Amino acid sequence: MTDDELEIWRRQWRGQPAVPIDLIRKVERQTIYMRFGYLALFFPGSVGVGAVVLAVLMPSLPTMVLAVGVWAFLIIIALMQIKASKSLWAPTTESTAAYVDLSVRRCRAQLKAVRLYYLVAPLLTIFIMAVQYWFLASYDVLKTSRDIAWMVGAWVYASAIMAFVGLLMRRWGKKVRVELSYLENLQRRLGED
Amino acid sequence: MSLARDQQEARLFEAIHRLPLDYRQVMTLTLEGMSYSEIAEVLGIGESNVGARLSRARQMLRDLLGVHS
Repeated sequence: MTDDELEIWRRQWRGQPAVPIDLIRKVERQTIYMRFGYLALFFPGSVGVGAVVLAVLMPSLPTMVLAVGVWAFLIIIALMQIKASKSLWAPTTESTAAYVDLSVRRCRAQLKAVRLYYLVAPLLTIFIMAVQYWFLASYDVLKTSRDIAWMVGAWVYASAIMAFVGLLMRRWGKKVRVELSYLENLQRRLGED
Repeated sequence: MSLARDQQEARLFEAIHRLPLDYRQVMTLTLEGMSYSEIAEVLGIGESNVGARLSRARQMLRDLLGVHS
């Protein structure tokens, strides 16, 4: 290495702007939330374990279809989550622009996750309801109006939970959109400098 | 400032942060424009030691940046 190269390094070193500490903290906080996102898979995972336990305790075609179907949904969700967060763990470089770029990509991934929920949650709920009906009908336990009322009650309960989580996702999506708009403006300004 | 423009600076910044502490100190103080004697005084080591560490730090930095001499 020549002294010319040392001089180039010196100029590059001095030209390197410090990444604002609040931006670093924000990105680190987002990283923690992303890890919690994986923990959130615990809930659908427990539904999957329940479906397998049911299939083992009461082996029948509906319970097996339920177990296989629920796990198929779970695997698809997990794979999509892994794919979505693949390049979102750290900035590509230690610069303000790279941190902003990472935050923008994370916001877009979060909006995708919200859209995925709107697609997958109703499908999974309808699938579970349909198999539940199939299972109960095959055991011939839907005899009285009271039995049917219990089943419909379970459907309403499951739909209400799904709708409630959907509302929370909608609120979260709105917040993310505002954040994304701010970050995209910031990114444009950084690009103009 | 665009991503493409600051990428080289960021690579250097990252590479320097990956140097072991002894070498990082000497390298950053050099890049800040301090002389051997000033660095020796700040770090409490001999000037010859500063030269040796800087030489080794340069080599490590070159390897990290993929610069071939």
